[in-house]
Amino acid sequence: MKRSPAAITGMGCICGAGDTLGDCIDALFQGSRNPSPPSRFTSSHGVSYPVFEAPETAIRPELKDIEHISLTGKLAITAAYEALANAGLESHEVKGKKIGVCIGTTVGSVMNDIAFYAEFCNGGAPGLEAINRFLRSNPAALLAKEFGLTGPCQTVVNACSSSTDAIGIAASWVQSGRCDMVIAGGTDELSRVTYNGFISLMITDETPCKPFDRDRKGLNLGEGSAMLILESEQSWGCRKKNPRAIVLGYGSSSDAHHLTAPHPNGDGLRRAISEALNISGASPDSIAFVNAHGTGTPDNDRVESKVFSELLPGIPFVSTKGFTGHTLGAAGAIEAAFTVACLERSMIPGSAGFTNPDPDLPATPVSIPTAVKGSMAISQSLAFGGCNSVLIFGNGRE
Amino acid sequence: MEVYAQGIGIVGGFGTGIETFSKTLAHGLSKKQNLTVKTPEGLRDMTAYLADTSSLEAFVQKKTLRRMDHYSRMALLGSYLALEDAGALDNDRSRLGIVVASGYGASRSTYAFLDSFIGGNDAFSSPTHFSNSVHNAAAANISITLGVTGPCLTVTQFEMSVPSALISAIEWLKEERVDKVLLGAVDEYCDLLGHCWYRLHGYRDGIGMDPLLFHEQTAILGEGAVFFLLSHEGGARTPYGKIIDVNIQCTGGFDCPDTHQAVFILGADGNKAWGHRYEKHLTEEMKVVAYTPLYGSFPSNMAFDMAAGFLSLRNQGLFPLPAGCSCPSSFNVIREEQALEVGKICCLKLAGDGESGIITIARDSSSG
Amino acid sequence: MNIKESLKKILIEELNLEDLTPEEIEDDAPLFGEGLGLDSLDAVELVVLLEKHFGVMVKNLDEGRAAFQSINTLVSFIEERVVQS
Repeated sequence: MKRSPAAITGMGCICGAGDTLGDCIDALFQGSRNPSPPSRFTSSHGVSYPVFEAPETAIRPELKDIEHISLTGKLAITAAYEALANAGLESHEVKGKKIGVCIGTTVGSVMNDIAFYAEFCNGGAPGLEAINRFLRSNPAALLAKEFGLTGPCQTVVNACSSSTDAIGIAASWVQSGRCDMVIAGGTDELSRVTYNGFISLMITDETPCKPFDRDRKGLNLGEGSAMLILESEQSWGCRKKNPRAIVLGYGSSSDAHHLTAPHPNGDGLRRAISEALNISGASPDSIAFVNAHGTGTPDNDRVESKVFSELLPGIPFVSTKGFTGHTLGAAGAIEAAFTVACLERSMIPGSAGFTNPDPDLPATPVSIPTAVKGSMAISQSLAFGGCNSVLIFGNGRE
Repeated sequence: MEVYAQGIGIVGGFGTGIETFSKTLAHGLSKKQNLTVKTPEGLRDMTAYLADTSSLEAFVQKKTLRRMDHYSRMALLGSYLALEDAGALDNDRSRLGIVVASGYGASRSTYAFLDSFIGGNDAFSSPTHFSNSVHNAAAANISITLGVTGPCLTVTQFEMSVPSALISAIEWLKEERVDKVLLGAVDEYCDLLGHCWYRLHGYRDGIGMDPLLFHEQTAILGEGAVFFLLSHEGGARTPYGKIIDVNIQCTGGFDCPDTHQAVFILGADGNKAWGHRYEKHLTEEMKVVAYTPLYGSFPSNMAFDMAAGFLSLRNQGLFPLPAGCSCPSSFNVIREEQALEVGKICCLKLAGDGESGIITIARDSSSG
Repeated sequence: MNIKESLKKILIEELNLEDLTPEEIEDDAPLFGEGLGLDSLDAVELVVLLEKHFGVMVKNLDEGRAAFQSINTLVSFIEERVVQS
C-alpha cells in the first residue's frame, strides 16, 4: 500500500566546506572555499591537484583512535549522529528499532590499501589490519551496527550517483511501508587511488575547479559525508517533529552510451528529470532551483547546461562542487542536504569558481547568492557508467 | 504484488547455463581449477571454482569485449543467458532495470590499477583499469552492451549483497519504475583474495567443501555470476516460480520463517566462523541442504542457492546434498533426490556479526 | 625495433586489440572513430602509454588531437619530442 512520500526530519554533514551542515551552509553563502594540496598522501605527479579535505578534527572524539574503522566509516558515523540529533532523536531511542540504512559510497566498498598490496606484491606478509578494517567498514552495515538498527540495509555503489540513488531508494522503502524510518546518505574519503584515477582520465584541474566556467579544465576531488533521516508521516506525526522537506520524486535512467563519458545529448539525464517531475506531479516551471552535478569537467557541464536550457529554461541553478570538490559516493547526499537547506531559506549560493560564462553553454549558473521562488528543488547526479539520478525535494512547510 | 523469475543465466566453476547447473545439482559433482597463490613462504598450489566466459562470444562480437574485464564479462554473460532463457533476447529494453550484487566488486581491475603505478610513477596510472575497477562497471557494461536505458544499481554488502539488492529490485517493480529487472550477482577470484584466504585459513590438499560440518574450515574460493529476469507478470512464462519474501538484518536479529512449510537451502559454505550460527538456529524439523560445494565460497553465492531453489520449484523435486559431503545425524538433511512436498523454499544466509538474509520462493501455481 | 613497430606492438598489447597483427594496422588509417575504432578512453590510455614507453608527455587532449590521427602522425609527434629532450 503506497503511503505519502518520505519526509526529511534531520540532516548532518561533514566535508571540505565545514564541520557540520550549518557550517557548510554558512561557507556557501559567504562564498568561501578551501581547496589545498592533499596532506595525507604524496604522489609523483609533476603538479599537485587541489582537493577538499574534510576536517578530521570534527570527527567524533570516540572514533579518532579506532583502527578498525576506515575514515569513510568515521565520517559516516559523525554525520549520522548529527542527523539524528537534528531529527530530535537520541541514539538509545533508535536502538533495536526496524530502521533502515541506505548509504552510497565508492572508496568505502573497495579493499585498495596501497601499503598492503605493495607488500603482498613483494612476497611479504602484510599485517591483516587493512583487511580487518575493510571487512568492518561497509558503510550501511557499520551504521546499522553502530545504532543497533534492524531494518533493511544497503550500500549503494553507483559511482558518482551513489548517494542520490541511496536517498531515492530509501524514500521508496518508507513510501512502500517497508520501514518507517531510514538513515540515508553517502560517504567517501580521499585516496591516492581515486586521485590517480581521475588524473589519469585527464578530467582534473590543477587549479580550484570552475564548474560551468569558460575556462574550466576539470574537477577537484573532495571527501565527506552527509546523512538524512527519512521518515514516514505516521512516524514524524507521532513524534510531533515537523519535516524539513519531503522527497517528492526520484528519477533514474541510464545513458547506455560509454563507461566514462556522458551521452552528448544528455538523453539519460532528460529521462531521469522527466521521470522525477512526473512522479512529483511537478511541472518544470514549479522548480525553484537545481543543484547541478556540475563537476567542472568540459563534458559534464556542457551536457547539463544543454539539458537545463531545454528542459528547465530560466530555472536558476548552482554547482556546489566549487565548495566541496567532487566527493564521489558522498556527493549526492551532501548536495541533497544543501538543496534542502537552500529550499528552507529560499536562496541559493553563487556557484563557486564560476566567473566567465562559456559562450558554448546555453545556460549558466548563478554567480552570487540569489533569492529563489517556489517550493520544490532538484538535486541531480551523473555517474560514470552513464547513470543519471534526480531527486525532487518539496518544502516541509507545505 | 508478486515477483516472478522468468529466466536464469548462470556461469561458475561447474560450467555455463542453467541446464548445466541443473545437471551439476543432480549429480552433485562440480569442477575446480588448480592455481598458485603467492604466500610469504613462496608460491603454493591451491584450488578454486573458476568461471570461463568464452561463451560470451556467441552473443557479443569479440571487439566489443576488448576492454571488458573478467568481472564485467561474467555479469554480461549471466545477463545474456537470463534473457535467452526467458525467450526475451529480442524484447524492448526501455523498461528494463539492472541490479547487480557484488561482495568484492571488480577486484582484478582494482589491483591491475594499483599495479599500474605502485613502485613506479603515479603518472603511469591506467585510466582503463580505473574505469573498470568501479563496482558499477558490470552494470554499466550490461547497460551499454544491451542498450538498457532503465535505472541501474549496484549493491555491495558482502554476504548480504544478494538479499539487499533483491529488495531494491522488488521495490522498483512494485513502484512500476520498470516492468522487468535483470537482477544479478557477480564476484571474482583474484590473487590477493587467494593470498588473504591462505593467510587466514591455510589450505589442505584433497579436502573438499563440507558445509554441514559447522565446526570445520572447509571453504574453497569460487567465482561466478547468476542473473534472474524478474517481472511482476506471472503465468506461463514463469517456470521457476516467484519470490514471496526477502528479509535482511545486519545486527543479530533473526526471524526464522515457519519451518514446517519450507525446505531450507543453507548458505553455509565451509566458513567455520559462521558455522556455529547455522547450528544454533537449525532445528530437527527443518529440512535442510547446502549446495555451495558445487560453486564455492564467495560473498554473493546466495544467488546460486536461489537459482538451485528455483530449479527445484521448476522440477517439483529437491536435489541431494552434493557428493562426499558430511550429513550430521542431528539434522534433517536432504541426502537423496526427492519430490518437493512443501510449498516454499527458503534460502538462508548467515554471516559474521549477526548478519542474516532470508529469501523465500514458491511455485507460481498459475504457471501450469 | 623502430618507433613505428614498437608503437603498433604497444597499441595491440595495451589496448587489447587481440585480433590484429602489427602488419594489419595501416600507417595512415584513422585511429579514432573509423579505422581502428578507438574512443575517448583509449585516448587517455594512449597518453599514459606515450609517457610510459617513450617518455613523451601530452599536456592536454587538444595537443593530442592532431597527433593521434594516425600511426604516422603519432610517430612524428614522438620523434619530435624525443629529439627535443
